[in-house]
Amino acid sequence: MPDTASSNLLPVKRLTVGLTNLCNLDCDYCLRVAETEHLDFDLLSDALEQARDYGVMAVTYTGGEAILHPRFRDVIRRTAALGLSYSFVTNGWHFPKIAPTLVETKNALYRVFFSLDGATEEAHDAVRGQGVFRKVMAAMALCRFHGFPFGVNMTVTKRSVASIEAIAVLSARLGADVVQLMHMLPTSEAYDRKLSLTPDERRAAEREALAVNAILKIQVQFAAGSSMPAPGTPCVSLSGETVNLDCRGRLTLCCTLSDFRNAVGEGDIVADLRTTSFREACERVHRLALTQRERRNAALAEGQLDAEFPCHFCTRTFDKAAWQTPALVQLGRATTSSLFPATARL
Amino acid sequence: MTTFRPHPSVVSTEVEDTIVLLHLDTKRYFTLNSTGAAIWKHLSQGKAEDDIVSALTEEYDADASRLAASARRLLEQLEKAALIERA
Repeated sequence: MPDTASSNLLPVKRLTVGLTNLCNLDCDYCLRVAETEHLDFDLLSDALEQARDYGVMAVTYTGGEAILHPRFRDVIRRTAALGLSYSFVTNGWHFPKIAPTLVETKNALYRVFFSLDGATEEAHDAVRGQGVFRKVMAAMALCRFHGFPFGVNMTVTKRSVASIEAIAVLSARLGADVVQLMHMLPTSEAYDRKLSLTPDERRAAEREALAVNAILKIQVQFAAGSSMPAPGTPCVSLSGETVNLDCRGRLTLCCTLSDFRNAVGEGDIVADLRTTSFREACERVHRLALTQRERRNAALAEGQLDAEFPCHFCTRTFDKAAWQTPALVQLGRATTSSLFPATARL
Repeated sequence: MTTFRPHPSVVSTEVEDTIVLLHLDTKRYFTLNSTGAAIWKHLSQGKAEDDIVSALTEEYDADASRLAASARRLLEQLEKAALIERA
């Protein structure tokens, strides 16, 4: 492992897990590939135990729609049984089905994060489909009833940027305790043109979030990827504090880069947990985090525009935004076995 | 014969034998106990108040007049909170 004292690397405390890339919705700006890959439960179970022993204390499950993992209930029970706290991101559609399992494991539940795209039924359903707003509202009602802590996630686009305050007020009134905002990361030129904010607009959105945060009693914040014009440690992934397990059983640098739609590069993937211990994989992630941090600091020093926004910088430098170089078109996905040949097994 | 229906801005969800309601305009949550949940289900099916009371009489071992009074009281509360409206 790199020297954490001299590198300012933090020990790994949180694991994000892409449980599945299957989703029942089809949001146009979504950055995940639309496939039907579920993380193997036995692999996850073993990884969680190793992670706990390595010092991980909390797990966040994402997707796709995490609840659609065929063994989601077992995943939650196993996480809680290992003494780890857990949270997950959901669109709310299937939430009632798993609420009883959350009751069982309530002591380990840190927070449920619901994705919202608008503060009104019309705005939300325009992106996610008819009836979705009412489903997510019903899911929040269940949280309120059972006393589950919950928050709201919103991807900020041209379409939603004007509703930051309205989303925050709605969330506060519904009993959420945090609103997490993220800048949209475009997966095609068309969506970039249609939905991306300019850097100036992104900075203005961040100022708006700060202003709303100062007024409301709940936290309203950009969770990651916000403007960081000075060199340093811009996020939990590059600080070393969080590592990501993707739905193919590979440890990667960051959940945002994982399974990125239309991506070419897979340099963020460091190890297959079928063949590498969690400890060794984390050490590789730390080395990669340090390298990427140095790369970003150098880009900032050179005045590269996208270096200010860490997620935009990482998507470009890890070749996730392949549409920016249209001469290269992805024809197929590299398989796990071709990335990690048998000879690499420990 | 009075018929009520859920207010269009109300979202409901069942938890075992209770129902949780959220009014999307006021952002207020409510819960209905098992009897209230039964009444809510019947009115959601478009039943008039008298038919709701008849259905409750079949479901519960209680005096019809008491059930009618309970139903009336709840419907008044639901209407006052704008959780239902007259059909």
